[in-house]
Amino acid sequence: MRKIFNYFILLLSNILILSFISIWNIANAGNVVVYTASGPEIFEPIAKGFKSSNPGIDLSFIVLDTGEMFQRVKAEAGNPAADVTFGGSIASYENYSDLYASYDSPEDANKFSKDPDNKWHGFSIFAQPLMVNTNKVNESDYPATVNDLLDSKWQELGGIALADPNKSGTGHTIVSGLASGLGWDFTTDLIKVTIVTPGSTPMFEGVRDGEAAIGWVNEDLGAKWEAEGLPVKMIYALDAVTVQIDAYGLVSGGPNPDDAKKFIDYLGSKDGQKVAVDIVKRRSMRKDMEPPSGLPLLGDLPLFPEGEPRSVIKAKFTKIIESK
Amino acid sequence: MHKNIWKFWSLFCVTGAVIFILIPQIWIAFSSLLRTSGNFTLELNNDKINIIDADLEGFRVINDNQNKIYLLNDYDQELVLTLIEPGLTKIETNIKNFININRIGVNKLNFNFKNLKLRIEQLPPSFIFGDSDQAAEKKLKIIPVDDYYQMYHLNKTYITVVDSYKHLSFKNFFTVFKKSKYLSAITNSLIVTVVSSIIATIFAVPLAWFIARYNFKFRKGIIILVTMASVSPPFLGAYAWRLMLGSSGFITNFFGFDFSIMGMHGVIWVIIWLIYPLIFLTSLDSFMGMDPTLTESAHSLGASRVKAFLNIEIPLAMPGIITGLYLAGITAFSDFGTPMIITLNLEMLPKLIYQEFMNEIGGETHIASAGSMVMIFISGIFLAGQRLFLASKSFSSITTSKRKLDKPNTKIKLFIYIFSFLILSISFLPHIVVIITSFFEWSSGVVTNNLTLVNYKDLINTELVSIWVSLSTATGATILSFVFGTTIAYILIRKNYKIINFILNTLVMIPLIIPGTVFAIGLILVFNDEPIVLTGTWLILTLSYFLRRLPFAVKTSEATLYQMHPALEEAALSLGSKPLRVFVFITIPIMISGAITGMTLVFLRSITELSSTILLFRPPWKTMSIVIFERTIAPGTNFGIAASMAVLMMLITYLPLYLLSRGRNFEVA
Repeated sequence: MRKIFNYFILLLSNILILSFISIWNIANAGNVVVYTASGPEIFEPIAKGFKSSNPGIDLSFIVLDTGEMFQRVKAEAGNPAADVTFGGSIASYENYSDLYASYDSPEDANKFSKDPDNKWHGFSIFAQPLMVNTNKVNESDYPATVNDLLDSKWQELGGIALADPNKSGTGHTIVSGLASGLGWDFTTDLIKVTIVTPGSTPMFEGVRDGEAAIGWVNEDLGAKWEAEGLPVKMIYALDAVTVQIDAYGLVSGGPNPDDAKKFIDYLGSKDGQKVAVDIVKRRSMRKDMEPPSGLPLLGDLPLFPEGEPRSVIKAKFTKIIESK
Repeated sequence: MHKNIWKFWSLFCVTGAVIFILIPQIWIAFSSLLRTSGNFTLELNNDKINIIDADLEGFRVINDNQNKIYLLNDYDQELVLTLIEPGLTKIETNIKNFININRIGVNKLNFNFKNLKLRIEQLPPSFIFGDSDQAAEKKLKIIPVDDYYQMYHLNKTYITVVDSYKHLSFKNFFTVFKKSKYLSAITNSLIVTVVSSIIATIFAVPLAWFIARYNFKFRKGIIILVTMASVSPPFLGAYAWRLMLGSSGFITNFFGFDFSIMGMHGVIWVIIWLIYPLIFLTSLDSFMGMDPTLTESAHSLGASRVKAFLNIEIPLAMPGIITGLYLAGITAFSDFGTPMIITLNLEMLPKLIYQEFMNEIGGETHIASAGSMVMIFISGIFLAGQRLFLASKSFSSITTSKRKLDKPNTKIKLFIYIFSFLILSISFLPHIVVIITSFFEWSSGVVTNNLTLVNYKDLINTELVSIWVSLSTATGATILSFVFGTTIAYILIRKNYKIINFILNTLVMIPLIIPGTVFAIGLILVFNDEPIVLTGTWLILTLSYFLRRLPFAVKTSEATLYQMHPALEEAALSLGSKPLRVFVFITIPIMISGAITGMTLVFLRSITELSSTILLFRPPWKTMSIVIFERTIAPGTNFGIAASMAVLMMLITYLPLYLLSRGRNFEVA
């Protein structure tokens, strides 16, 4: 009997405390809910910056894997909980454009690319250089071009990790860019000798942890890891480098669109973009801002954008993998 | 009235089960039968039009001349596309009932008929390198003219056409079995399930037997520790093992091994340590609840120790062992956290289905639904096997005297100590690793060598609310599980409602075999709109935990009830007691041991649950496991706070467990 009594007390006290907290939370109006695919190291500085110029508005961040983020917005379409989604490539926003509201943010006019439908807003642009694990690969073995990866030595050194375009926007960007820059014949041969990872994070971490010898990485993450002294090194290939734009968008039918629009404006403003450059170490989408120090100028790189639409890349990639 | 109280209650349970368990799954089943007629992609290059072979589904190309393409799908719908001049294509079709053309963007529009809904999208010049003005230049346009349509587009572009009109079809299942990744996912999942369950049983059952039979100094402690071992905050057990034994793990580096835990062997290893407590605990209950007189009679008739063990004790304990095996197997089959962390690209069924749903590039929801149906089918076979095995035998005894514990001789005592020590030290290795790393500073996703308390400071500053959310939802779910778990077990075993029992048993077991994410999606889709809106509330989290753990509660209550002969209750009834009284004062006290095992596991599993919580929670109802998850997945993140939250979670779950175990007597009834 005493056990059951103990349980009751536990439950009662929880309920009391809970009601207190929920009342306190509801009292906080002026709240903008942001679903983000970026980690706390990115959104915490942004939240701080926004708070200082907009003290009356609270931001709540929920971190999700990119794929889950969009699926969740889709599942919630009848009754959205999110105001804004932050992160994810342009192609994903295009794919889910029905879920977003059109908002012509005044700050977008200063960017060097914007959505004609005003649904996605570019936050930053970043390249995907190669990354080697320095414990597994000697400097003499570093590749100069993506073409070098066809050398059989890479299988002995630990393998090449590549994110599956079916599951990762980054994977799509890489495959699509390589195909448009170096042709499908080469890309097919390359795909056949890679270890396919179910997302970009396993690809990055796989190389970092030495589960693979080489892969691709987003340059801001690679730069951070190099600065920390991790056994990785970024290499900008001389024949082809891909770039991605990550974006943010206003969810259609969200709970607090007015305050959300202020946040959207902030992300595109010089202050918000400054956070991107200085703290996150990504290149700004604004035409009037300098790139972060330490990264090569985009103009010096052999850049190749995505060539074919998502569905085509997915289908071709899957066909190649299944015929391995 | 009293006679009907059980009937009423069972009908009530069936109704609840239908609404909350069956209907969401029916939606998934329905979704698995929906299929669109297909899609295709055109490549337009000034004066040439081409269809891209790789990206062609459902439609067949009948004829492909230089500038004219004939397409036909399975539903006899025909499209003829002719490139008239750069930027202008003529569309002819045999499809009647044109509805409208609906613009959804500068480069996107819907082309709608009654039985065909085409979403047509042209790929604008790259946003990165092209002028954004150029994109608006040539809007995508379709204009009906007489008996055909004119489509205006960019001169050089790709045009994807996707039909979103859903037909009913079984073809999704063919796709599931044809695609090699699904086949290998099914195989891998089955291999992992069977191998890990067998190996876990091999050491869990003997350990349970020794603990049930002998009394020695740390006996109670061992039981408590094994129960605690089954609580590994989600993802962390796997991540901790990877930190230790991955390619650049502590242990691998220290010894210079050329080995990595990544891979199927790693998944099996981690899952063994995840599931063995289940088998241990249910077997323990069975062994302890066994009537000692049977064994004693065997001995007095001349049977050797071993013979008695194999021919009497093991068969009598079968309900517990088989139940534990079933629960463990299903847990292994449905777990997706472990494969996500411990492999780079090994396909496993729950992970695959989860990813198909979560695919950021427009998930294959219907294929994933079909895959879910396959999972349900396989698990149904496991369940049928278990039921069949147990139903054909009778396991109960008349008396309720529990066995007395023997004092072991030194040799046996030593053996037990070493055996338990080995098992427990490996079980707790991940926990220790997590505790240690919580005191080190993390930076950019890797641990440094600086000792610090900053992880705990950050935790208290930012995530205190989540603790209350976790505790309250778990407690609510536990209470619900106790009430419904014991009563449903009673109905299933004691009452002879043929149809109701069959329905109830099947429905109640369903949540166990649905991956948490699929379960959550079902709940969201049913309860996201009127008339009942539950999404984003405290209630839906509690409901999800309760429903997902109900099978545990029922099964563990059942195992105990199997060993109790109905004669006890019949005696009370014949002496004049009302059925409800009999249940509360006779049945429940005897069932308590099994029921408490069930409740403990429900509470612990609810606190650490992640897979359905991820989809169901909305601020402010963020749980502790969500905090841990957020801090683990992003590549550059500070894992330290996840570690400190995990330590806190261990503290919070171990405390009630300890209190409970203290009150509970492990020796005599």
